[in-house]
Amino acid sequence: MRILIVEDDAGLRRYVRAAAEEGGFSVDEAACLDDATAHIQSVPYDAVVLDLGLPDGDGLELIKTIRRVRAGLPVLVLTARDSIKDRVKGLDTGADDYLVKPFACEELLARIRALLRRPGQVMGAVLTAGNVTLDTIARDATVAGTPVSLSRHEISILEHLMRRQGRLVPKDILFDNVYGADALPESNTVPVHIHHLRKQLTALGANIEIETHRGLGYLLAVPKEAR
Amino acid sequence: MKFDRNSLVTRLGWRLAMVLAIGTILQMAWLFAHFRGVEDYSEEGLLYELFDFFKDVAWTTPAIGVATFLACAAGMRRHLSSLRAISQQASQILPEERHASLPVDQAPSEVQPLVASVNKGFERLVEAVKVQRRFTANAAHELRTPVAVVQAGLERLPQNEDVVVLRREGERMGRIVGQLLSLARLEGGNGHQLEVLDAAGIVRRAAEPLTHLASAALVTLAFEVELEPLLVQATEEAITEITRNLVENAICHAPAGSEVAIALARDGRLSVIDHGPGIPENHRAHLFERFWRGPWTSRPGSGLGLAIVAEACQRIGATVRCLSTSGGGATFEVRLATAS
Repeated sequence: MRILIVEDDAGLRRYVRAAAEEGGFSVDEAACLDDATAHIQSVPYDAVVLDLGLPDGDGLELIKTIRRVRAGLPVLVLTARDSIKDRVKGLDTGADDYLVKPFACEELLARIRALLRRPGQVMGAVLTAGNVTLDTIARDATVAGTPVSLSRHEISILEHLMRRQGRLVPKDILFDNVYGADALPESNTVPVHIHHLRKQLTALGANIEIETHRGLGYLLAVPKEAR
Repeated sequence: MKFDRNSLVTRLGWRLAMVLAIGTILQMAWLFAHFRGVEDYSEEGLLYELFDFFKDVAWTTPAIGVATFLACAAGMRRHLSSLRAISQQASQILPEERHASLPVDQAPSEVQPLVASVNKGFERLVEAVKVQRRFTANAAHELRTPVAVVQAGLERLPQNEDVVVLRREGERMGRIVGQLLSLARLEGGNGHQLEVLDAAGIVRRAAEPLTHLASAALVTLAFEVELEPLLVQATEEAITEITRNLVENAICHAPAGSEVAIALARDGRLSVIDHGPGIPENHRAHLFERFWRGPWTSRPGSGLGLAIVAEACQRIGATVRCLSTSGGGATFEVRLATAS
């Protein structure tokens, strides 16, 4: 996986690069718009990490170029601007995700991975969280190597939670993904599945936890020492 | 009318009384000299003549004096009432004002230079406040990248005790920088017209990313909404800031394993309820001041969160107060203006 980091601050570029390389990416750097444009036109990157405030112009201009050259290339915007207006503008221009400075490199890597797993991109076949693994193609899961018996819906729920571990999966999105957007809300058995999922995972000694945030959704938490 | 030595009307009264007194004395003196020269009067006869003269003619002088005083006093009071209206306006000028100025034309022309120079002074102050705010916003903005570099660098060091302390402080610094920007943005809120918005959706979107923070603090969030959509008069920015800062504050003080509830009632009451130590009654007055932190708390806060809430509430004409949660803890209640 090759990514391009466009950032004018040499210090930040250095650390983002180091973190990304440790995360298994090969990394190219660009410090300005011209440089970045040249890179994008010559190398088929898997993702671009883009700072908006560049010395020779606005990073949003680069997104326009990217959408013209390679429409499907995921772009993660890094920025110091975080007003709602700025966020909307960034996403409207075609950024795929948005991270406000300062950020944790761990979070940045998680976001890049999430972008790469989007439909249309190469899917990671095996997901892991703590001592739990889930094979997205064989549709089965294990806890510390022991298979867990889960229904089709439960695997699907677990997959979504694992893809966004540490972040909330809103209940509507979970519902739509499991049952399809046209399903009637009456058929919502997500809480029941979550309950069963939790019981199964706990019984096998999983070190991850599915948290319920009432009225908002679910979040898969991995204890710090298990990461 | 109460007696006031500095009142223009009192001063006018004294002047007129003095002129009147001197005039009367001169009149008397003249008459005295005049009668004295014309005929030979006895003392009584002279006094009698003077009294007669006063009764027939001279009484008009003090009468005119009093009438003049009354007319001038009334006129002056009427003209001064325009000044009273202007000072009324002046007393309502707030530090947020972008174009603070007083109406010059309404003042009597003698006072117009004063009003005009006060306006000039206001202009300079407004400009200074603007510069100050822009400075805060720019400083906070510029700090973001260096803070990010420091945080990323610390993340990559071997994690010993010192590094953990530094990382925690680095995160706190990042949070303060973000909050300073929020505050600057709310204060400088250009063109933030109130709109009719769905509060439920905005609160939900603001709360969703905070579950991450809650999870790290071993706390769960809950969102209870009575009516969705719930239309209110507000700005998206203000509701987002109110929710974010109240919930972050609650998560910071909630004990592990407890729940922080966000409740939105159909009458526009937005409550954030925690089961932490609560806030003593005598400290509630200071809660919304900048950089104020409760003396009882050892938790690392910035002291800016609740100030942002207060500022955001003021922007949209909402009120915020702090109550006790039944069974222990703090509840912050914001009253949003519903749009029906």
